[in-house]
Formats: sequence, C-alpha cells, structure tokens
Amino acid sequence: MGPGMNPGIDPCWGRVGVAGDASCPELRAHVHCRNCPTHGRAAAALLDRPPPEGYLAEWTGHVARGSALSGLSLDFARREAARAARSAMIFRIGAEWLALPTGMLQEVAEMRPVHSLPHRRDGVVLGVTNIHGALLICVSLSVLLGLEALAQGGGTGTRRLLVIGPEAGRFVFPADEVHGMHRYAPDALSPPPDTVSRAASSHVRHVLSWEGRSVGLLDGELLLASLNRRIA
Amino acid sequence: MLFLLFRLGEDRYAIEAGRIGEVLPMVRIKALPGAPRGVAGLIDHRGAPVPVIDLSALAQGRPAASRLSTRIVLLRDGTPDGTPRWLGLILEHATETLRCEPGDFVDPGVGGGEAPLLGPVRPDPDGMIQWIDPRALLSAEVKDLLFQQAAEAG
Repeated sequence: MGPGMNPGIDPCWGRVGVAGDASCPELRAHVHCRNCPTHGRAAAALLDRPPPEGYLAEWTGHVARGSALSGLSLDFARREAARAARSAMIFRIGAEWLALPTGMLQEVAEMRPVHSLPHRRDGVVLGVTNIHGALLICVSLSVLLGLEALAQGGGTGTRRLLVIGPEAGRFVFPADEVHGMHRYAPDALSPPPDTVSRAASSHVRHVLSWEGRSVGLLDGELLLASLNRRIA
Repeated sequence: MLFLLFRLGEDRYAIEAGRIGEVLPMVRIKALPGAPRGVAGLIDHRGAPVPVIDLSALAQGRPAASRLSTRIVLLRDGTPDGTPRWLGLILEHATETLRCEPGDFVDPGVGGGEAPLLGPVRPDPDGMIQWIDPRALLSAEVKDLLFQQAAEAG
C-alpha cells in the first residue's frame, strides 16, 4: 500500500484477500473484497481525511455556479432527465417551420427518388422510396397539413427525407430544410396562436420559440394516426 | 424507505432521504455575526443564499470537523404559505445510506420535552440509529430570522 494510506487502515485485502493469498474466511460469504464491509469501512475512513488544499474554494465555486454534479442530487437529476426528454427535430416545409419529438424520428436521409404508386391521386401519398433496402411509404406533410408552398426559389437549404414512426409502421416525408435537434425546457412551450394554418393547427399542440421564430410542435401520435388513416 | 446516515459524536442518526434535495461537499460559509448558536451562516447555492445550520454546534457545542466526510445536506423546507426554500445542514460522516422499513424504528421510550432531537430508534449491530425529523431542529422564530437574513444578503 502507498505511503499516503491512513495508518488507521489495515489493508487486509492485500494480505489475505483477493490481492493476497485469498485465505480470509470472509471471502466465502462475500466472494470479492469489494463486497466486504471491512473494505467498505476502509473506504469510508479515507473520507475522514481533512480536505486537501483548494478543495473548499473549488467546490464553493461549483456550488455557486450550479455545476455541482452530485450523484445524490435528486432534484438536479430529475430536472436533467426532464430536459433531456424534451427534444425536438426542427424542419421546414414550405413557409412553415415545424418540429417533431426527437423520439419518434428514426433517421434523416438524403433525398432520393420517390416512385409513385398507381391509383394514388389524393396527394398525401407521394409513393414509395428505398431506405436501406426497405420500401417505405413517402408522404407529403405539406398536403396532409395544408401548408402553403413558398414562392419559387423562396427558400434556402437542402431538401432531405425524414423517417419517422415505429419500426413496423415507418413513414418518410420530404422536408425543404432540416435544422436539427433542439432541446428545450418544458416551460418554453406555449399554446399555438391562430396564425398556424387551420389543418396544421389540428396537429400542433404547442408552439416552441426558436431563434425568434414560432415553431409548431406536431403531436407525433396524432400525426402517425392521421397518416395511417390516409393510406388505409 | 431510504435514509441518509450521519454521526453526532459517536452516535448515528438518520434523515429521510425524501426530504433531501442535494448533498453537497463542504464549501465556504459566510458567517452571520450575532446569529444564534448552531447557525453556521450562508452558502451561495446557484446564485441564491441558503442558510446553513451546523448540527454538531447545535447539539454538541463544537463545530463540525473539517473532513471530506463532512457534508452539507440541503433540506426541502416549506414556508407556511407553501413557498419552497432550502435549509442546509452540516453533517459529519454523511457517507452512508440505509434502506429499511419505517417500522424498523421503534419508540425509544423517553419523551421529547426539552430535547427536540429525539425520535424513534433502530437497533443495529454497529450501534443504534436514531431517526430525526429535521423540522424539529429549529424553532420557527430562528428559521424566520435565518431566511430573512438570507433574502437580505441576496
């Protein structure tokens, strides 16, 4: 054992324990020294040292800034968990910025050919497209939600395909631009204003404030249900 | 039910973990001149002043030892009108938790009266553990005085 070890600690694990000759009778009950209360008491005894130089000053700063990541901080852990659960993928369709809970997003893919299906003229179903060898139904959120298209050349950004839904019932839809994931605090949500277009508002439960814009947060379950109805 | 264990002198005590918001390491404490015995002062917790009680000073008349195992426990404490606020406790040997049934603690058979720290006890091979209710630690007057000072310092 190192010279820094507290003289009151008997490092028995190195003598008769797993790091020694393993002759300790307690091993039969605890299997490994780390399960033994003697080992635990030695570890607790190490905490009875006086704090090292600079310890108080360092932790005073952490606690004041709120960066003290104590594993015993239940409130902090809960808040972080709630925050992590609130994440949305932000994208643009036509003139409208929309968001979907990140949890229901499977993938953001490059644009690729969409093969139209015969006898599908309602506009919501654009066709099928190949995502990693699987043919998935490609839909138009623009038509489903009744969004207005931008004037020709009015938008910047790269069109991409978003894959959403559970493994057994995935949909693909094109977005004119994908910003990426956005984390938000639960209190950043507000009820949708009247300016969200009528069809979209039936699927928008909340509005997120993002970079000075109001982004309609779509209800994922409701969206999937609507899509499933339209392809039936 | 989960409890946080700590020591006062040689004896072990338990606080219900559900009442604890955070366990902090020891930090610098701003003293409050003229504060009642046991009131260690204020700490800066995420930019807000939180009053801190030194339980060793309160119960034993000597300040808590300066060791890594001495920690500050933040208790959830509500005002009569329901506003949440924090109260810090300096506890020695706050390094262990205990999971057991509340019914494992039995009435010690001696009344509270002058010693508000008394609570039910749990026999244990390493020494009896007494369950204390942090609400009983301070009188309402002392708490009001503390929180008033904390608000003014902020």
